[in-house]
Formats: sequence, structure tokens, C-alpha cells
Amino acid sequence: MKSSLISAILKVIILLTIGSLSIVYFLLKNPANQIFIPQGEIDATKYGFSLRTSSGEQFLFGFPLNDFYYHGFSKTHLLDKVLESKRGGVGEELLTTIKSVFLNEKSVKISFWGGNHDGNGEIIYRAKYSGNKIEVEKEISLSKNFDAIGQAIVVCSGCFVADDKERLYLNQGFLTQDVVEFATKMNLVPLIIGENQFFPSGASKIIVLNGDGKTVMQIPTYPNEQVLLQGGWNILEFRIPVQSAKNVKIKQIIYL
Amino acid sequence: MILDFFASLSFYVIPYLIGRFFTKNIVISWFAGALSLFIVYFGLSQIAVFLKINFALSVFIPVVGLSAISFIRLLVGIIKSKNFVKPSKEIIFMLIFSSLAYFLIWKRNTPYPLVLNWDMYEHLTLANLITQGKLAFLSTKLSDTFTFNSYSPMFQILLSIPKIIFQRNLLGIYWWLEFWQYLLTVIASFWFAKRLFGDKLIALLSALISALVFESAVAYSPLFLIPQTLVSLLTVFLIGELKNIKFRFLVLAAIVIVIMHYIVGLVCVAVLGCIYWGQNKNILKRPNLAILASFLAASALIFVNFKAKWDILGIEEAQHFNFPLWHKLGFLADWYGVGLTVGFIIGLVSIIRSKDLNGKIVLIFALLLLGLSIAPFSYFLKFYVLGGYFVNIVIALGLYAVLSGLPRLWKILGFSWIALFLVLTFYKNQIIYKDPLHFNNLETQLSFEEIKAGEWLSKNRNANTFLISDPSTQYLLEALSGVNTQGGAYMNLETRLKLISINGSFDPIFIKNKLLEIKDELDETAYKEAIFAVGGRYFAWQNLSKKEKESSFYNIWSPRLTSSEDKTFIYFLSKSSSFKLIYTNDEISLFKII
Repeated sequence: MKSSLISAILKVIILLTIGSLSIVYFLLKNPANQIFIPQGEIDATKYGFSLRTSSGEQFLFGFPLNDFYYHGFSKTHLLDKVLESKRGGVGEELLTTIKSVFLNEKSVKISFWGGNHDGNGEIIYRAKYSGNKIEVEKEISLSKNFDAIGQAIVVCSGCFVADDKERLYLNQGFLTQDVVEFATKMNLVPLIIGENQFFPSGASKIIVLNGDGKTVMQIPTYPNEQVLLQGGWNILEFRIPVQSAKNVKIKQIIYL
Repeated sequence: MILDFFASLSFYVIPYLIGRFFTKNIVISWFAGALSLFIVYFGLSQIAVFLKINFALSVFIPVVGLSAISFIRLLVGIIKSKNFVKPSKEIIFMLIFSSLAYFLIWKRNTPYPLVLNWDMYEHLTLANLITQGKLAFLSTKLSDTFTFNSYSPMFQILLSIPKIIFQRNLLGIYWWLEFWQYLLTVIASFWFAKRLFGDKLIALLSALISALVFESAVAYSPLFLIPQTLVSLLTVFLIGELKNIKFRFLVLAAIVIVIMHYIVGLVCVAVLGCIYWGQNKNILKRPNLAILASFLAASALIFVNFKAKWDILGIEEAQHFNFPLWHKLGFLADWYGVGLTVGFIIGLVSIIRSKDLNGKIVLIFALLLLGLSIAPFSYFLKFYVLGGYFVNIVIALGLYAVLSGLPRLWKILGFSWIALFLVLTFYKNQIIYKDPLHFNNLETQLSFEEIKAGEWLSKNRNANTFLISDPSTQYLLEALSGVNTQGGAYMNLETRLKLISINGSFDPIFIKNKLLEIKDELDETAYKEAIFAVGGRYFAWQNLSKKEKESSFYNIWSPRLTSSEDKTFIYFLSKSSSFKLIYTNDEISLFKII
């Protein structure tokens, strides 16, 4: 009787172990460094962090050697040299897997360590996708204080940049008859700005429209955030002011 | 959807009905019927050409006629004998459980008629050609979508039957066929284990593992219907019936298995031959020694991974299907979950300790086929499509060793616990497989707009039409419409380079001339009409690197929307005098090259 009870308990322990091993593997297996979303994909690898549309167009690319910080109005790359890159720790990846499977919340993360002429630094890129929203988070730790962080977003070719104040932004030389007709059709007011001229304040979001007037992307802006348009390169540049510090975490939300 | 449900049954039922003219054994009659159809098709294709009659009609009449006679005889026999099949409650439970897993997990975001099986389209292409009376033993002679011959058109002949009889597009029929294949795999696992060990719990465990372990790379059992999965399913049914089969029928079945898939079929026949010969000669006098020998053989095959690697020369994609050892072990971990390794070890120990010969034979083949699957040769992971049945039984025996002796309630709880972690493993495994296949809140390789484009092509174009696009678009549209392309997804390098050269060009004459240089490899005679298909997939393919575009391994696996930039090019083409827009929707536009 006693031995059959011990045998039964041992068997239950074996069963629980088998099941637990499978469940732990299921939860702990590294989440992918690439997530597919209905509108495209998000990659986070040692080569950089990028968001692409379904047709392969890259509209956001993050890499410490390309991204920059501001000290006053001078721009400097976050890092000059990347020494190491890495994804999250076990606990963080466990949480990522649980959220991905049960809450349909997908995320990727990549960290870079390296240096620039001021010293060493760490840059962490995270992207979280849920519903039709991508939250791109940058966590920056440098050896020197900085006042603002820059982020570039590529605007699709043939697309237009507007805001929620019904303004359509164009650089000098881009105002054509087609653009005027488009603005009229969409009830927008064309506004010519220089390539180094910030958008006027007041807008709470930047809207990217395709040639048919359909919204491709909406980017809510911070209260003091400044935006530049480089129409020749199809680039929108966001300058996000921060309290002068060596460490900062900022979020950019993009609605697709 | 309902019509396709019934039409799909004919793929399995008609060979069985025709085979009943030769034997009453269910398994052998299917083989006999399949082989008869194979031979008859070749005969009828020659007769149809000679007499200039419609091939499909020449197949329809005898197949339907004979099937009807056989069915009536079967019905009369059943009524007279009053021998009605009563499935056991365990089978009914497994069928319900498996159906729930299939539709609630696997097909949850893949509604009718969308599919997740990329290989399927080449079989549709061949089946479509066969319904037109085009038949050859070598698949490479029928369509340049096939770059090497790994099987005869046996599978596609059987696939053409529902199309000929019911006159329906095979896409929706295939959606149901894969469900039947899945259920039959579960039934085969249950039945095979029950035959060997006579215990319902072992059979249930084996069926449960088969239902929830998706071999999501290369092997693709139990969720895909392709020649290799059908061949291994048939082999398992045959092994279970070996004691009741005469040698001449075994030879007949072996022929069918080999011509359905040469390489996997040969391994299946080797396993069948060993078991058949072994049972007659009773040669396994020292079974544990045989287990040790197979363990050493498997270990040697696995060890070779550290020393060398062999790719098939001349086939570019072959190198991509020769994975490093740790990748293959990772696949097994993804399919089974790590915990079932413990189940396998317990099963192995309990088999060695027991006197049951059947268990030892299963273990020997499990080890040998596992070793063969993991050997460092291109495509060898395909052999797991048969190996999986044996490995699953070993694991089932291991879990049975743990559950046996427990009180009934604990057994039920234990079984439920096993089902739970297997469901979680299956859920995660299939999520990983489907990750690149998201489109418009669906999980699919094909979109409804692409299906519409295929249907339009099918109705409005003919045998003199030639379609040109990126590899994936060609592959899908050829399968959906029957319109010929150069190689489908396996277009040759020359064609790829021509398509690459037109990327970014806005010179319509240059584009037109380059496209018109593309020819079918099997028939270079000038076609009457060429159609250029452009859409989200085409532009996404053109955005790949040159190296990726030159390779047949990289495809755009899921549908894509056309972007604003894409539409600029489509607009430009529509305004040129060299191209005429004949069809368009949100994802794809078809241009006749003038």
C-alpha cells in the first residue's frame, strides 16, 4: 500500500516535470528578433532596428551610428563605434513571450554598447506592437549631457505630410499643380517651409497621407517636439527635447 | 464550401471503391484502386488523343460508373451482413478533440479556402494539366515548375479526380483534403498503436501526440497533404495490416508507395520489407541487441553532422534544406516541447525492460528513422514523416508507463495534463510557422483578391496565354488559373535576371522586349498572348537584394498590398502603348503585352 502510494506520487512528479519542462521551454524560448505585423515587419538585430511596410519599404531605421543627440543645436551621432549588441535577459524574454502569446502584444528589443569621443554609452531600442499602434522606445545612456534626441522617419515616395491643424507641409520647389489639387481635395492648406525650418507649433500629430488621400501613418507629437521635413530625401526628422541629462528614455508612437 | 466538402471525399473514397473489384481488404483495395487509376489514366490519355475526344469525359464515365457499381455492391453487402462499423468512444473522442484543435488553433485565422501549404500549388498545377489530358511519367516533362523528378504524377492523378467529377476549383477541395489527411493521421496513429499493443490508453496517447505535434519544417506531418505525408500514412496502415496481406498485394502496394514518392517511398518500402520478412522468419532472437545496434547506427548518423555535410549538386535550394545539427534538434524541441524527451527516454527504458517484441520493433525503427532524419544530407529531414509515427509510439509507451497503475481519476487528470502542455506546445509551434504569413488579420499565403485574379484568368484566358510575374505570383496564379508560366516559383536564373533588369525602369519598350524574351523551358514555341502581372508581391520581390532574387529559396510568402509608389508604376504601364490593363484589384493588376 505504502509502496504503491510512493510509486503513484513518483509518477505524478514525473508527469509534472515533463509538462513543466515543456511549458517552461514554450515560455522561455527566445522570442524572435523579427515580428510580423499586418502592415509590415519590425526587425531588431545587431545591424540595426527597422520598421518596414509589407512591400519592403523601410520607414524607420535606428542604429546608434546613424541616430543623433543634440547639445544646443549641434548634432552628434549617439555612438561612433558599436562594441556589442544584445537582446533582453531571461526574465524580460519570458515576459515578452507571455505577452505575445496571450495578449497578442508583440515586441522586440536590441541593445548596443559602444563609445563616442565623449566616452561610452548604451542605446536600447524597443518596439512594441499592439492593435494598429507601434511604440518605439529609445533608452539612451551617454557620458555627456544632451538636450534633445533626434529620430528620422522615411516618408513613402509620393506621400504627403500634413498635421491635425489641416496644414500640408512642403519644401521650397515642391508646390506643383498636382499638389494644389490634392490639398484642395483634402481640405488642407499648403505651407512652404525650409529644410532646416521647424514646423510651426500647435499640432498634436503629424499625418502622412498617400496620393489617394488615405492615411498611411499618424505620429502624435510631444508638446515641445520639433519637426523638420527634408522633402528631397523624403525624411521627417523629429527633435525631442529632454531635460539636460546623460540618461533618458523617450517614446515615439506611430499609428499605421 | 459544402460542395467542396463532398468533392474532397472522392480523393480517398474513389480509389477504395475501384480497388474493391480486386480485394475486400480496405487498405489493399485503396492501393489497387490507386494503381488502376494511374494505369487507366495513361491509357485514356493516349486514346483521347487518338480518337480526339475530351479526356476529362473519357475519365469521368468509367470512374463514376465503376465507383457507383462498387458503392452499390458495398452497400448491399453491409445491409445483408448487418455488419455496421461502430467506432469506439475513444476514436470518437480523438476525432472531436483533433477537429477542435484543427479549427480552433490551426485554421483559426485561415478561413476557407485559404491555405498554409506552399507545396500544394505545384500539385494543383500538375493536376490541372492532367485534367486537360496532358500526362507524362516524369513531372519535369509536364511542367517546368518541376526542376527534378521526386515522384510520378500518381498523387496529382488522384487529385484530378474531384476536379474532373465535380468540375470545381481544387483550392477549396484542398482545404478539406488537408483536414481529412489530419484526421486520418490521428486515426492511423490510434489504430496502429492499438493493433500493436491492444491497449486503448497507449493508442489514445499515440493519437494525442500525433494530433498535436506539428512537424513544421520539411516533414510537415500531420497538417499538410503532400505526396510524402500521404505515402507515410499509407505505409502505417499497411504495416498494421501486414499479417493479413498476401505477398502479391504487398508488391502492388510497394509499387504505389514508391511511385508516389521515390525517396521517402523507398524508405517506407524498406521498413515494410523488414517487418514483413522479419515476421515470417521470426529472426529477432536478440531484440535488445538489435536495439543497441540501431541506437549505435542512429548515433553514428548524428555524429556525422560534426564531420561533413552533403548537398545535392545542381539543385540550388537543396543547400537551404541541409540544416546544422543544432537547428534540427531545435526543430524537434519546437515540435514536441522539451519535456517529451523525458517521455521518449522512459519509453525506451520500459521497452528494453519489457518482453513485448512489438515495442522493440517500434523502438528499432524509431531510432533508425530518427538517425536518418537528422543525418547531414539535403532533405533527409523528410524521412521524419514516417519516423514520427514510431517515435510518437515510443513516447506514448513512456507516458503509459507513468500513467499505468494510477487510479482512474489520476489517470484522467494525468492525460488531461499531457493534453494541456501538448496543446500549448502546438499553439506556440504553429504561431512560429505562421509568423511571416499575416495579411489583413488573416494567416495565409494567398489572398482573396489573388484568388479572384486567378479565377478571372481561368475564365478569360486560354492555353495560348503565358503569364509573367515574380516567382510567387506566377506560382500561385498558375495553380489557380491553369495559365502557363516559366517555372512558377522555380523560375530559372535567366528569367530572374531579365526581371531584375527591368526593376526601376520606366522605358516601356525596354520592359516589353525583356519580358517577351522569357520563354517556357518545355515549349519555346511562341505563345499567342503574354500577360504581365504586377502587384504588392511583385514589388516586394523587386525590393529584395539581387542575391535573394537570383535564388529560388527566397519568395514573398504572403500577400502584399500595393503601395503608392507601386501604383505610380502601374499607372505608368497603363498609359503606355506597349501594355493594356485587362484586370485590376487592390493587390494585383494584369497587363496584356501588346
